[in-house]
Amino acid sequence: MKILVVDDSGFARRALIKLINEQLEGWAVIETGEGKQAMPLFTEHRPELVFLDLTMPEIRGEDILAEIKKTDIPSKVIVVSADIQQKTREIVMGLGADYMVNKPINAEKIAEALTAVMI
Amino acid sequence: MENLSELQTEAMGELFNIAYGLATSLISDSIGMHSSMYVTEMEIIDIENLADTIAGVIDGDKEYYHVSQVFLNYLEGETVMLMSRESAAALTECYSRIDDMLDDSSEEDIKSCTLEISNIITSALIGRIADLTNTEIFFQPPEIKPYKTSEIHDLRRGSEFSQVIVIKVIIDIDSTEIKGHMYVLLKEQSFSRFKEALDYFIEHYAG
Repeated sequence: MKILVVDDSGFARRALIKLINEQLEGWAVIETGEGKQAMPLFTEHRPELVFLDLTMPEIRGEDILAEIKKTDIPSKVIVVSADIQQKTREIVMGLGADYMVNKPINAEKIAEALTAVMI
Repeated sequence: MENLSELQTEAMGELFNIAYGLATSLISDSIGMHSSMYVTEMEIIDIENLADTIAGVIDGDKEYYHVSQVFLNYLEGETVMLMSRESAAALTECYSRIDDMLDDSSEEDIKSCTLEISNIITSALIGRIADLTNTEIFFQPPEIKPYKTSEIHDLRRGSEFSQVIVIKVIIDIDSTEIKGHMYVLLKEQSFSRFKEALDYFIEHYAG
């Protein structure tokens, strides 16, 4: 089982991966800080779950989400963002995200997200 | 980045990312439209280099507004936001869509909207640090005036400040890009406290 973590902040990635490892045993975590690497990694590894940041340089998380949902890979996507606007949530969910978590993350929020996507 | 470890620098980026998420939401609420905010550059410089740093980003052919706001208590310092008149007018035009009394060619209305946006961003940014450290920071009312190079030199001469956090930010409202340059001037002791706040954030967020 694989998880892809996409966030340009190394700090945020490490925090998230630490929480994932605490809650999901035995999953392989693939990570990238470059949004442009997200789709090549996604198609190569075909992860069951993706944690995706929205605000990244070069490419927006929304664009990556749309690309992911165009593929035939049945991954669940959890968007993790500091953007707390309801409109953003609506846009992201409209693009097919399975769940959205607002930063700062913590163990409870990640547990809720994992439960919501039934992982 | 001066005086911050690599981990503290990363933590600062994430902390400000979260703070700007809040600011974006507040701006969207106040303007009645969806908006986005991007931090395109961030660095810490010595106060001695502030004037040169600003000179490097100012377009000599444009007029700019200079919004300053003093904050006191656990952290002491001042935020300075520079925004071109062009961006400030575009911002006012966005606000005028929900308030038809606003006129984006009126100097007073442009100043009022620019003050509002600067106040929101400063409160979100500095307030987030206060939240983190479970302390209170008081804000004085913001002031706006046309930008003059000499006043930036005065900030350096005042010499109460030691370090400056430089943040270039783009606010995107309905495909209108509004650019601002924000400078957070901190006194020496406050910079040490800011580093303590980052360490607290690292310990509690990244473990």
